[in-house]
Amino acid sequence: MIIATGFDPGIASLDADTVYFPVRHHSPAAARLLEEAIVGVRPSAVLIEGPSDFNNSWRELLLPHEPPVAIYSYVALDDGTRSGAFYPFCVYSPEWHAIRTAADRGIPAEFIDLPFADSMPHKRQTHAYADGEERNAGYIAALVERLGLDSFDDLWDQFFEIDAAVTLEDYMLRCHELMFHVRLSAPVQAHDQRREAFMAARIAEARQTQGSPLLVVTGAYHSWALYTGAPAVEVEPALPITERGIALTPYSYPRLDALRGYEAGMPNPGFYHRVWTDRLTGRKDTFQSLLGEVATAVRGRKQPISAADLIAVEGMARGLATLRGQARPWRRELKDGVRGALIKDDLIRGYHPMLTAVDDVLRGDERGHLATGTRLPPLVGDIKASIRAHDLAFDKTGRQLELDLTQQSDLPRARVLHQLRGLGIAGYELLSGGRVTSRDDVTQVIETWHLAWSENFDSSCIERAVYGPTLADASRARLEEQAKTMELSAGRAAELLLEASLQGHMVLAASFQGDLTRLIREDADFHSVTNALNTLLYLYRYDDVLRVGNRATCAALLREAYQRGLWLLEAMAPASDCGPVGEGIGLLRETLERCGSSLALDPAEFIQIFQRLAANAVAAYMRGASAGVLWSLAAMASENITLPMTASPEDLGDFLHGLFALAREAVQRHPELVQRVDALLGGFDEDEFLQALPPLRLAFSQFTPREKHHIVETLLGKNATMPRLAVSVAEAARAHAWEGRVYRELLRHGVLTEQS
Amino acid sequence: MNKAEIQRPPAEILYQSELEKLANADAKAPKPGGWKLSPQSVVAFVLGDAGRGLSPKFVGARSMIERAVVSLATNRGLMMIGEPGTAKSYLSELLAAAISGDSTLVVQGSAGVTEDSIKYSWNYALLLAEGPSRRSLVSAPVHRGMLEGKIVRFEEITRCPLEIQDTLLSILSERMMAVPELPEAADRNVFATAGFNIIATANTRDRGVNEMSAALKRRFNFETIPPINDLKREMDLVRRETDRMLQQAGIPETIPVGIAELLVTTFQDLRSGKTADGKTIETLSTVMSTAEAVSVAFAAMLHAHYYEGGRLNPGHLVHSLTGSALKDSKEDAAKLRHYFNHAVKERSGDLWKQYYEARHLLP
Repeated sequence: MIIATGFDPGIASLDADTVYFPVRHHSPAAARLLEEAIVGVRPSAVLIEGPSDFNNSWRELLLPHEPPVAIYSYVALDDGTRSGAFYPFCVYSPEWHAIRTAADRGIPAEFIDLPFADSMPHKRQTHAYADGEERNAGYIAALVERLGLDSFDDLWDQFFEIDAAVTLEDYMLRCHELMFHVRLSAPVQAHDQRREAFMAARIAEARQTQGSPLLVVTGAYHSWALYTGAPAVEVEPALPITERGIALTPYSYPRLDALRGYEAGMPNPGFYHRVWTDRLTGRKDTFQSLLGEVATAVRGRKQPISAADLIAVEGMARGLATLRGQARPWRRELKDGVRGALIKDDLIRGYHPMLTAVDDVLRGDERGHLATGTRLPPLVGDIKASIRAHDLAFDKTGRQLELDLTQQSDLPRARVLHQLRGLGIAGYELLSGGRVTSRDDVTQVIETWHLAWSENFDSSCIERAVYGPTLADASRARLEEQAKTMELSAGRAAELLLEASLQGHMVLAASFQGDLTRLIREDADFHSVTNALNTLLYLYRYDDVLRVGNRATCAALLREAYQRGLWLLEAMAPASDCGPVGEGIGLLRETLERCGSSLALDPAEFIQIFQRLAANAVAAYMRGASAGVLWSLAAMASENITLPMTASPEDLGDFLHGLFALAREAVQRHPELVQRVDALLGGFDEDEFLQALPPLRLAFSQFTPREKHHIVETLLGKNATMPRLAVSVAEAARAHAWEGRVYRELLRHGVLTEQS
Repeated sequence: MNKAEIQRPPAEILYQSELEKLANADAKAPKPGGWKLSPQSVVAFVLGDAGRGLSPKFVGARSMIERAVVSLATNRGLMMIGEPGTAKSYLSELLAAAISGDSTLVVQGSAGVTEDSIKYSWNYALLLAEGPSRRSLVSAPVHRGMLEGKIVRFEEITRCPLEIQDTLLSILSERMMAVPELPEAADRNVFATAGFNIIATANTRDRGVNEMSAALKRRFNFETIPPINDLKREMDLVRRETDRMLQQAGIPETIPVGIAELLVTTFQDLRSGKTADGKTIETLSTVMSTAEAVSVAFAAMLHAHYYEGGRLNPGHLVHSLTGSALKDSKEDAAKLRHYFNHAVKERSGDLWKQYYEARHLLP
């Protein structure tokens, strides 16, 4: 690593004409010290890193909102793609305090950053206050390792957050110097250079109009460039933008915390929120109250913990804080304390409900609200416009709408409807179609929707505005959130993929496909994998209709799910639920039959597997189902089907249940099997027959009345009728049972012998 | 005895100079009662610190070591759990050496462990001649640890019968041991001197910690020691250890890097149940520890040296793998075959191809 030299401490001066205040977005320490700086420096103007196209709506920022709220900036390009950036503000964000404090003291303030639309509109979604540069810097990685920490977040905590007494001067110097090294350890990206050039120009402008001193509040990463003079950069040719907008929307901590990788900002918003309010009110028991919340959450998960356990956690956390040279236990110590003192299981898998409880508490659950008088969130307008544009309005009485997805004109309407439904907007209900199960008719893909007025329509639109400014953005963000927060199985992930395709989010669908490959490979649940197979089969076949345009990837996924399903079937021979296993096997066969040649699946391998299962499986149902598969594929002759002649008569029913489930149609064509079953049953005595009856009933219940009639005809000949009873069936059964009893009594007393 | 003559010197002798250096530096530092070093120095000793001339000894996360050290400073014991072969015992030795300067107070858990070998027993000749007295009492490790204020290591605690495990209950909570046989009232209670604590280890394969009584669990802080999941680090370790064993056996060869990579990749795949390209496979019931990988490598090298003139090929690996790793499990053999057919088959590279070709050697 090269340590850059040439740092100029002058950048940290509070007496200069232009004071550069470095922030980490969402840092409570920066917020506290920034307030102090504004009071101390008494600047003529405060210039803040934020979208300068929002300056015209500045007044709206000063309304009594309840953070977290965000400024959304969005654009639509002429190729139809949309993108947006959000600038989230928490109650403890330095920018939020700069805005408020400046307003309270009558100091002019404005945003100076390049509008999102002009900086990087080709990026689909951007968290404008992320810490990507810092996270990826080699300098930070080296420093983190040297100090024995886990991440940049811990480093920041150690340097700035934990010690409540860090002075303004110390902070300025330390932060500027740290970021000077970060800055010089890696090349600066082009869009950052453009933004810095823009900000430098705005600062120069303000120097003319507002005089000095100026207070410039930007991400610490940009300070050095602004201080030393950002070099002018070539402006990229503007992209053809057809629509742009910017507005305030409510935001939430779960969304903020769900950001990962380059998009991630400061994690654990719930924790910093607590630190901020406690320090503001002088409370000293932050750690204890958080631990109390963790205890409540853990107990809510039915994990018992005692007061002694909590004392042990606290002791551990305080011990770790001392060992690590901290004034007090922090986020990491809370987690480590719980891990060390509470968890008595091995953590080789890395997951534990108690750790999840800690994460939940650290994340917080605050959802923001906009003050009355703010413009309605852009999402509301966009939803109404989409509904109008696609003629999807409803009235009080409600109406039914049938959409044929194969029609050029109906597909976009269906997508909008799926987006509304996915987003949870009240009033839109899918009655049929769009579902995987109903796909018998392959020529048409009809969806039936019910559109009806709901009193929750407006409120649901406003509520969902946390997800994004437009229907497309918001529905996509919600799907993404679902994907991130839910514990995913392959089956569930495939459903999300289908949902993304139905909603027309092709980019997202592509990213889900990547996850799905991984999940299918990991999933050990046969049902889950075959559910995925089912969904994928649908997607694969209707790729053209839905215009997903991703047939190749879908084929690869399908092949993956097929292979995995076969492997799981053979390796684990799931014996539990008969019905779903049969369905799963049916799906595997369907995949082979319908897509075998296009996916280059090997029928021989498939047949070998089922031959092994038919011969060796323990469960009678499994053997029957395997025989059924082979029979239906003409890989086994009906005379080779070995009916089980075991000691337990119910095996016969289970076997036939499996056989009929997979070879329903073959049974009709080959009467000899039914005749063999009949002969076998004829040999059962009464007890055996009664034992065999329940599973047999289940087995035959799979046939339709017409098919049953056909079977009866096979057995009894054409025009056969069942013997008509003079009494009711119940009466006959009672008489039969009574006769049986008499018969057994006679046997017992030696009046009759078994032979007679 | 001279240091050079000891077949395997304990950590406090092997790293004597490092420990002395740290103790001098810590002369004025605040330390938990009875500790030879400060908690910071214990962590530095275990993980190493090039800047201070401390060699790295254990591969693992700093936060894990920190938690372990802090646990030992509290009034709970430390329980280290993990798969066999994850160097739990080695870590406990290092911790005991750093904290107490003595890693030799060890109870080796087994089905045959009795209270005598944990607490104390008697010198029967003296007992008959003089009756019970402090002179006739023979200290076992826990008794000594309590008197001298040292860390006691209890290896494989879950292999002991439950009632024997539970003899630690009052020792850990009251920090006291009753010796009712002694005549003097003052001698009948042994109170633990500051610095006493217990490091227990348990592996997750044998009986596991599930059967351990809840009361005893409560008195320990648990720490899971994960296997090394970094390919390069584990390869380095396997190569170093194999070459050392070859040298001891007088065989002038070293294991080729490619073969070591093949072996360690196989072990990591089968251990984690996941191949490098993300496929889930079934884990073997056999332990796939680093130590086991070393023994497979060593066996393969011996085979090649004596029968093939030293030309080691992937076939030898398959051969040793079935011999030393699979033990006698048919299920494991099926899982290993599946691994070859689904994972090894699709890997590219000559060695992997040869490895796959050698699958007929599998049982």
